[in-house]
Amino acid sequence: MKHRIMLLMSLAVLSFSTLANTGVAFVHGTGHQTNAASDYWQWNNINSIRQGLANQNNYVVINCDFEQYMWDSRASGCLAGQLSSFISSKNITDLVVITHSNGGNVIRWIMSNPTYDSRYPNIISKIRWVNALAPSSKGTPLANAVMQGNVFESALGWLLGYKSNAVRMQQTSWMDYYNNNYLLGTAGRPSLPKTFYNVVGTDVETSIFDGDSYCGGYSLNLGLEITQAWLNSCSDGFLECSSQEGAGTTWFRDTARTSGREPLSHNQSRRKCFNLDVILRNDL
Amino acid sequence: MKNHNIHKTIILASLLAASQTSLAESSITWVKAPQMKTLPSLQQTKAATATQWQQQPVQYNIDAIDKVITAAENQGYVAESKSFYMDVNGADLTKGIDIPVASHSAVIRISSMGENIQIDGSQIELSQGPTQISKQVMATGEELNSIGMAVPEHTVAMKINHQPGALRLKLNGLKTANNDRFVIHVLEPESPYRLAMTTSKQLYQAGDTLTVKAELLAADSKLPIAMQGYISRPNGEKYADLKFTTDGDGQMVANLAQLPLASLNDGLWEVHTIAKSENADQTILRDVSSAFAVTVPTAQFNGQLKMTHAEIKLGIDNHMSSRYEASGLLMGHDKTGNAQPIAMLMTADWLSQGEATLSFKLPKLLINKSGLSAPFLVTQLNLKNQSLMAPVQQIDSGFQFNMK
Repeated sequence: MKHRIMLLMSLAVLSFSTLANTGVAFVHGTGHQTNAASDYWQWNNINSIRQGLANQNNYVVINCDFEQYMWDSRASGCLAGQLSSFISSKNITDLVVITHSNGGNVIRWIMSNPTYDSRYPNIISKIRWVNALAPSSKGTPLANAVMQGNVFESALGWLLGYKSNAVRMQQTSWMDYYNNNYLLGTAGRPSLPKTFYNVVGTDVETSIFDGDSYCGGYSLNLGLEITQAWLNSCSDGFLECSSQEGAGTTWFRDTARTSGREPLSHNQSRRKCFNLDVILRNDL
Repeated sequence: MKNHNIHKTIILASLLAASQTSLAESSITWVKAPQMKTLPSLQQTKAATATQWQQQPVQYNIDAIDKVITAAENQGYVAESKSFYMDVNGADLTKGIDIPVASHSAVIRISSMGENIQIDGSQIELSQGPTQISKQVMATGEELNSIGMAVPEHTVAMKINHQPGALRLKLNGLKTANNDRFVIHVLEPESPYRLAMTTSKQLYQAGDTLTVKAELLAADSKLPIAMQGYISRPNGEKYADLKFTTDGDGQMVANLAQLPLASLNDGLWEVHTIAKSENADQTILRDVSSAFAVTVPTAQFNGQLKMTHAEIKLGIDNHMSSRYEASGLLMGHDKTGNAQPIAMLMTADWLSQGEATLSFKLPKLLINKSGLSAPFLVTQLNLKNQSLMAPVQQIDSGFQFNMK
């Protein structure tokens, strides 16, 4: 009997692998994107990663308003709509989701709150796993820095420097509340229904004499010398490693897998830098 | 190492287990019956408009077998800061202002709140007495925004080295009106002085008393401080000032009674504090903020509890038409008598005002797969108003049931 069950399972796994229609979704971070393929991920990166698909047309680049709170219909509602359309139109049965930064929080909202929206369960059922590039799972002191303070000299002090609800939400004390009460996957909380794999940026290189500093755009990295003052020694210039590893499972820290053992700054982890695209491609 | 086949195998194993099971319902009781309360008036609290997808019922269970899940401790977040903010006008900045610094290095950010007030790094003059202070590194608002630090557009930030004491900051050639506002944000990353502040809980019940505690810590001591603070509502408006007193142990404490109701769709409640200490002729300033939530009791479990072959039905006394979610952790007992998790049960539906029901789907596949036995418990029972993003009621002890 046991042997028959094993044989049945093996055959079924084999047939599932053969029949699975794999797709990949690219989910951007904070910002209101209308052309994330060009403006956020860049086409050379997307085109390299999707080479790992049997059908290279089975990809979607999400464009939503992630200036909003993760539960907002313009954020997770928009993401659910675009993922549902992609799954339906391409008949996707096996979905790998690649997120960057706050995009990890938005997909984690969907996976943690499957009852919030009747579209969520079908999306979750299709997800194989999430590859979360530098997710801001525990927020960032840089959000604290731009949101806090300056409260007594001005009656509207909190408004000064106020950019978006997404930034407000990524303050560390806020993310602590949402992790404890609304999101799954942090220590002591129930696990997410699908695995959330973190790729962690541990350091930044900004030397003008180092060619590696230019990957992803040197000008994008100029402010890192300043922002690192708010962060501890293990960070990608925007997020501490403890935040990037705060939920789910760490797949790898940058230098363990990147070419030349190069670290990935926060901007480089969404670009075609140091073989990350090939690692993500091979994971499909 | 990722296993590309494991998720498929788990699905199949569950299906095979299902074919071998037949469970029947039996008794179900509360561990401790819910206490019915008179719910407060909700006239000023409105639910967000629901999308079509939020009008439909959803039941969902998440596998928790062999997972380590701890009960939420509801401890306040401990916020710490080595920075402070100054709010200055254009006239003062043109004349020069003194910034008290307490260490040998700092990052100073100057942000203009005006839409057309450009700041150029070359305009900034820093000095300590006769000594000019040079800027080690500078970045513009555009450069900081490009890596995610969401500062205002007209911003300049710089790293400097200096002596502890007063630092003179002056902006030369600034084209500004006297009432134009600027924020000066000073971070002292290498300073030993940090302000630590926490609330007594992270999630308060409506009507609870909030307690805030704060202390200014040096390397191995606490410093005496003067403190101010206030509470802001989720929509950012100021709610009430805090009055701090010392507790005799070097901590500053403030209480605020009767926390009111507010939708958390706008975000969280916040505590904002600022501390000042005069220590050995040195002025130390620190600001820190933290967040908390207050439940919005728009409904409650009314004690009705029923189990059918496939579902557990919970009675709800509902005072506001909204989408509600009930969740709980299903546990069974192992051979040594210890309770172990099986699944997180979740169910939600749009409920009209009045008597209502939410139903958990019994995860029989997972119960079988777990190998755990009755009595089964559903602990950490939570009722949330999803339309308000608000916790409504928590019953940690939950209920228990047997299955024949």
